[in-house]
Amino acid sequence: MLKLTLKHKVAGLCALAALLPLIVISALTFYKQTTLKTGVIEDMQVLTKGETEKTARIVYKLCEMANRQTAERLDKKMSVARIQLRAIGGLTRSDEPATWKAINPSTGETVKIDLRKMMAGGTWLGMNESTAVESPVIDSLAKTLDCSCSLFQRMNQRGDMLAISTTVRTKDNRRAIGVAIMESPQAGEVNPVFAAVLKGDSYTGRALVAGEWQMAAFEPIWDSPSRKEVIGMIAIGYPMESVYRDTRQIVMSIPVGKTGYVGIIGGKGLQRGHYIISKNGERDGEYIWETRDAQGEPIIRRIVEKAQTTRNGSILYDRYAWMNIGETVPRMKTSALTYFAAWDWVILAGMYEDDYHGVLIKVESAVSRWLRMLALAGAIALIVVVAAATFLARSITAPVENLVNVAQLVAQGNLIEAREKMTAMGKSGKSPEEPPGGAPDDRADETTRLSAAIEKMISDLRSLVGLVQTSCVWLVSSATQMAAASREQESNVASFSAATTQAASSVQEISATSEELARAVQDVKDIATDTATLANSGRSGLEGMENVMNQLADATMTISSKLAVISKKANLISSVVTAISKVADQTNLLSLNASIEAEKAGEQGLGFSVVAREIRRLADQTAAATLDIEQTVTEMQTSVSAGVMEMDKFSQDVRHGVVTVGNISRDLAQIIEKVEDLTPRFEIVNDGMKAQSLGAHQISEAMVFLSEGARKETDSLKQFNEATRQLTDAVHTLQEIAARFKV
Amino acid sequence: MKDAARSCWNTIGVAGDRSCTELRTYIHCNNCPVFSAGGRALLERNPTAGQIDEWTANLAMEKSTEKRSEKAAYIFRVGTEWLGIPADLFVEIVEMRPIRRIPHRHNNVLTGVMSIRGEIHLCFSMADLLGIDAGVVPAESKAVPRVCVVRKSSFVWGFPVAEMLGLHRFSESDIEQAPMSIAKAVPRFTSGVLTAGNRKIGLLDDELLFHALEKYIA
Amino acid sequence: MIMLLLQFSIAQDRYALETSQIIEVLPLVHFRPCPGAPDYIAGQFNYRGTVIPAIDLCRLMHGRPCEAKMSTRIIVTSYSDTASGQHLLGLVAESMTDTIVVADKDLKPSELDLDQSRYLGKIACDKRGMIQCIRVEYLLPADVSKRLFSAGKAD
Repeated sequence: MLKLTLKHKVAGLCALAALLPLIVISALTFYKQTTLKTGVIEDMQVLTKGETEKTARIVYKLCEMANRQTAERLDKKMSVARIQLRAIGGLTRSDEPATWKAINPSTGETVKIDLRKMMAGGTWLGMNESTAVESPVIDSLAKTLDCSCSLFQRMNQRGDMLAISTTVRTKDNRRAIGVAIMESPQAGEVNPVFAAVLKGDSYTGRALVAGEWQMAAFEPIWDSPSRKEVIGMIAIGYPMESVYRDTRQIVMSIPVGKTGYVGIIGGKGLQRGHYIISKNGERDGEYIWETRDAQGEPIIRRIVEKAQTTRNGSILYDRYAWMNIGETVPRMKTSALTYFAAWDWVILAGMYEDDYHGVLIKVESAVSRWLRMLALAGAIALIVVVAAATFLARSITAPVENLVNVAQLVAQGNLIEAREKMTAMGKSGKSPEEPPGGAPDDRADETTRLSAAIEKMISDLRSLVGLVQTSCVWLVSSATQMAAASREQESNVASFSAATTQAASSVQEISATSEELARAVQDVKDIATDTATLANSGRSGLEGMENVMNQLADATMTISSKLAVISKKANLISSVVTAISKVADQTNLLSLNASIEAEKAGEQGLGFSVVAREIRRLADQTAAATLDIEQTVTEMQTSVSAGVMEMDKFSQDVRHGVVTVGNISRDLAQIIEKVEDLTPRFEIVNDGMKAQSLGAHQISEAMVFLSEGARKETDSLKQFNEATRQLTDAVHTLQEIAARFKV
Repeated sequence: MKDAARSCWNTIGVAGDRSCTELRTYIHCNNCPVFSAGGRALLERNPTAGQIDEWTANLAMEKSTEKRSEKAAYIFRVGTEWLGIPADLFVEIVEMRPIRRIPHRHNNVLTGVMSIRGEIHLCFSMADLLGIDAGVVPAESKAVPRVCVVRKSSFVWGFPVAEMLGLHRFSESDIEQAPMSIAKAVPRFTSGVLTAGNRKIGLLDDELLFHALEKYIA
Repeated sequence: MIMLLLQFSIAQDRYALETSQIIEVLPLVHFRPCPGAPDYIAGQFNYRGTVIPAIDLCRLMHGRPCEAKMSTRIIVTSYSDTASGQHLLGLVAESMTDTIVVADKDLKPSELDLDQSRYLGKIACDKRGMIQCIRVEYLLPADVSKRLFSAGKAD
């Protein structure tokens, strides 16, 4: 809520009454202006659509007408060609093959293929690439018909066709033979040419003939008059450019609106997104598929795809920003779209929106002039009303302001000044017939009655405040005395409590210490007992160990003597080895003599000589085995002597161990004796400690009881203290309030 | 290292990891010249003291031209019986080997055929022919069973024996009459009894024996 | 024709003697020395009642006597002295532990023909190397032969 004085409120009300009609008029005017503008734009758009639609339809009809005318012309020529072919006896296939290099124009791949030679009345149509050399049949046909002419041969069962003879030329001025027409160059689309020709029908329309887009007529070539199989086809046609040359001129000359024009864009396949006919032919052939507007929207793609949804020249519209050559900013434009499927043309008749901007500007300027005038009138009315209102308001508010000042002084407690002000006001503002301070009269106005009441209130307040101030002084002094007494008592109790607590804690400490000591003594005693037990068991263990070690020493001796026996036996084996060596030697010698004898016996001795050799071999085996035994024995002897040494060392260690163990056992015995001596002394000390601990514990409990009493006393004193303090605080507050009044 | 090379048969040969490439040629170390040479290294040692003396003394003696007895027989054992067959029938004595049964021609005596030096020969059981219990073997025996290969009138036969004693020479006068105590069937085929050491040997009559045997193959 | 040769060594080299020329191979025995004879005459020994001389082939060919090893043996062969006819002769050599079989077409004549070592005969080759035949008939020079055997004849 705005804080406004009475004066301002009165003035504001007046001003508002004057301005409100003006504002309403302005708002109405502004609203009207907007609706007016929208209406104008809508009307203009309807006009634009009508204009563009009309243009698009005209262009579509033009194309349709040119297409129909050309088709009719080609059909006529085809019937001439048919007669000529029949005249030379038709085309047949010889059994001789010819190898072709077939190029697939959609993928660029080349494949080699063998096809039977195509003959025209006994002459091979050849494989002629040169334009300088005449190709049979095709060249004369082309000359007669005055159009391009091509022959195709079927490549496979599927029906792919290969151009084998043509008047169509490639870029490097050769005949475009070897170019294949593959069925369904793009998956999913049926080539209409194949659809018709393979069925045995003729076809007329736009098609890619030997690598060139033509408006062409196709007719199947049959293998025989019985028409069993299509072996190829003949095509006659005109290049597309020559077909739509006239159409192009007309399209370029059609204006749409002030600056609009008609454009043609390719819809499918290779020519998709290429400008076919542009404004004044400036951008023909340019690839504009990827053109985007400021928002990144691919507008051409959108338009071309939208146009292809139309059927038989129906019209769709599109609104977009477009920038022509020589322009710096794109302009909004509305186009009518349609699609001429026979030529794969997207027809685009567009008109720029700024062509009708002039009308809009005129409307806008009229409305804004009207608004300016209204504003001026409003300003003048405002000044006049505000001046008048201010004068009136002042006369109403002056006495009220004075009374407000007096009431404020009373609120501050300044009763003296309030009274003076009241008196001054009475002199100046009172009417002569009214006595000063007299009872308010029914005839007096509201202002006068208010002053009288305030005056009465001020005098009553003065007497009451004087009384309160006196009682306050008395109350404060009593409360202060009470608090002082209470605090003194509290401090006394507190010091008593502290002393008690201190004493209790000391006693507890003593008790705890003696208990701890008793426990420590008990621990020492326990440990001593344990030590004695352990030492005893250690000693008996050591005695057992001594026995075991003695046994070990004996066992070691036994092992040593056994090893010595093994060593002796091994030596014995050595002598056996010597004996075996001797046997091996004699066996070998025997076998040598046996061999010699057998040899001398000639044929008779053959068997014997085998035996002799066998004996020698056995002797060798014996010898080898003997060597192995010897080796093993040597190793064994080494191990045994190492073992003997180890055992000797071990038994020495064991003997040393026995002595050490004996010594330890003796030392342990001494320890045990000493520890056992200590135990009774520990028990005496422990009993004393326990008694002391018990006494200290009883004192401690008494102290705790005392301390608790003191704490309770302190608590009640604190409560009393708190009450006293609260009383003092209340009195002080009262005193402060009373002091505010200047009596 | 020298030891390792010397006893290659223990490291890379049949007693070792068999990695020696020569094993492909010789199959077993026993056939390998390296092994033979290794064994003969034993003979490259000095003879023991007295050995040369012993040989010198032996050689100085005249060669004993002991009169040879005119007859000889190979002595072998079947079961508990020691038997002899004239030595001139013997082709050879070979190690024990598997006997293959002949289908449909199998009986206790004619046990089958066996391969001897790549040739297949008929095989019979001497124990069953003579009716001796072949299963009874003296407990202390360390005997090695062998196969005797004999030729009688162009027939070669093999028969397993429990142990070979060897060749025993004797003269006609050494042959005693067979006592009745020798096992029941044996006397039918024995021509007499010989004494070799403390053994009594039944000398078999080869004519009777092989005549009886031929009946089994008829 | 296949021949059986007795193989032995003289200082690591292998030599051989045709078994047809050998009567017997004997183990090493003690020899009774022949004072005055050439050092390669090891001495004489009793061969089954006949005292025959022995040639130390190591000494003869290599200048050091044969070592007394078990494989060192004596070949008893027949030696024909031009004057006094056939005699037994002992040949001492080392490593006499094996025989070898050689086809006589594999025996190649030695190209060397030194007067002092005419006793060295044809050479055969096998996997372990060369092996050369000894021709007993040329082992002893005529004078030594005469002295050794005429004495025996005189007895």
